[in-house]
Amino acid sequence: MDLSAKIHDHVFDFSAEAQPPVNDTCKIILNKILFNDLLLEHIAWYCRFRWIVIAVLLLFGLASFLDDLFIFMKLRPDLYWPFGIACIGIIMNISFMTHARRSMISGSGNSLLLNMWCQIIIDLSLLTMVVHYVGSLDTVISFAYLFHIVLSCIYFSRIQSLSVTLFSTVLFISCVVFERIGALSPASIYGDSLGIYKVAPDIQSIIIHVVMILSIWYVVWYLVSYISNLVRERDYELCTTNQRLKEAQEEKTKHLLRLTHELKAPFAAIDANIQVIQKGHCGVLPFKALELLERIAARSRKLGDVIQAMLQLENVQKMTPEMLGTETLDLAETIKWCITQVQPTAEKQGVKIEANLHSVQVDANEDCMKMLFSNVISNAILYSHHNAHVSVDCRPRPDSGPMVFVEDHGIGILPEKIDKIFDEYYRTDEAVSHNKNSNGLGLAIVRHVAQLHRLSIRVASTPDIGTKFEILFPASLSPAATK
Amino acid sequence: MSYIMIVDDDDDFSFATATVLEEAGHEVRVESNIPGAESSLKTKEPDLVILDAMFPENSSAGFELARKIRQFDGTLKHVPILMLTAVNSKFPLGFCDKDIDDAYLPVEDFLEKPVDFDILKKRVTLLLKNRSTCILK
Repeated sequence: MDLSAKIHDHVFDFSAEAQPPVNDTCKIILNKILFNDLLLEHIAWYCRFRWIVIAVLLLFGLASFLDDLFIFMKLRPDLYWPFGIACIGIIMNISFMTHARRSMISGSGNSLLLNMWCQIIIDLSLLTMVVHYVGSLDTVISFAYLFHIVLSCIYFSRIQSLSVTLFSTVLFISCVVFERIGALSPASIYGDSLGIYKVAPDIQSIIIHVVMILSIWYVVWYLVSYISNLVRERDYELCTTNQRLKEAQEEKTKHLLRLTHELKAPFAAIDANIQVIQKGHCGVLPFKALELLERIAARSRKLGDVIQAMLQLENVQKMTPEMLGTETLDLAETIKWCITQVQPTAEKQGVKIEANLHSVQVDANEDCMKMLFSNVISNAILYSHHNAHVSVDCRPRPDSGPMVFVEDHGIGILPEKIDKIFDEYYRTDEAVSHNKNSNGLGLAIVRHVAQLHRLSIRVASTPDIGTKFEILFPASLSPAATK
Repeated sequence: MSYIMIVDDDDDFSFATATVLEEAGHEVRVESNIPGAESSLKTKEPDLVILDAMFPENSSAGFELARKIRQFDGTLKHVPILMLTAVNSKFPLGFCDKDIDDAYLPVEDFLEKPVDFDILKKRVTLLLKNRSTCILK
């Protein structure tokens, strides 16, 4: 019998998992972002910039009709070409913006890209017209091509920016050649035909002039594209790191969730089976055995609670304000939810909860707020005297964030011990003798949540009278402030 | 007598729950995995499903089954579901309010393990009563 046929050969390549190809993913993500949202932003910016150029051209054209001024400046008066080029610019701007908006609605990234490249090509062609009319060699106008070259270095890859530089080169050389061979009549803004050169330059001078201009362009292209590339690589690295951090956070969340389940589930099963015996489903047990079972059940429940508190604490300890996802919450609703959760404990302790909750909005993490108020209210109940009441009040404060206070009528805290109540596992002797089931982690969780949200907590207590916790929200957490 | 299905991978817990519910006069079927539960649901329609959230191979298999049940044909999609899990919505680990929101997770009730069986029996009675009222209407 050929056993090899039955063997399922699985190869687990963990080395590939250790170094996921996030870089490529990031590049794809970044490119996608660029092609969609940023591309529209760039197109809009190009159009806004073009409006300025159009305005300058129109003003220059109008000014040229102030003959005395232009003749005094030794410039050629009565120019019509600025109006022509400005008109083309206006038509371009309207058409490209309309097209970009439609493409954005239809979600076509390729269409936006085509829009962008068409703008570049037409802009460069219009710029060549301006260069011709202003004076291709008479003036420094040829350096206006550098605007496009630099922008393309910032927005595009090196190959693409080189293409823009090459296209500019072709247009500029064509302009100079056509002027030289007479296909285009020489033009200049200067009144005397050749401006600063005064005499018609020979072919050698033109070549040297053009080569110098182009050399400067290509040096600028090299430097800017090199630096832009470095910045872009940094962006990719940053994106990679962010991606990995996000994945690690998700992994940690899943791990903690699984860990909580794995640790709590056995206690739930033990508790369930104890209840089956306690409730007589397996026959009548002697009183002593029932008493022991109750002790086992209580201990099991306490262990489950401690595990949950430890995991909650672990979670909030590792969290940073940047990692905290916030949303606009109605604090009154959140506190109401917490009261519902602790109501069974209150009933068991014979404590009445009196709530006076005004609707106030805060930008905070809902889970954290629930942990904070559940712990504070639950503590107030657990350390209250029997038949006492706990007051919970939530109200806005003028010129600041809201305030919540939770006041109990219970055992209180000695003044010298108040400083330690937010420490992990700290319980006063009085607290332990009043309620053996506390774990000393509730207020440590509260402290971390408060730190994450920059909350202030005031604690006022009188032994054997009661304790009041005032939780003060900063104005910065109000939705209006964050907007 | 009602027919209740418990879907939970924890045999010890489901054994105890089944014992209590059977003592209360219900017929109980225990399924320890999702495919088995799906198959049983189609064989005989329960009056109530008590569903765990997390299963060994999929941490949200319970949530997914709950949503799947609502896509079933006939009266099966109206079966009340009581979610019973060791990780509750208080714990900020991915189970948030949206998981137990009616629109997002269509379950009738949500209880956290460990559960007091007296509370569980009350909730079961209430859910079965509501179902009977709905059927009569």
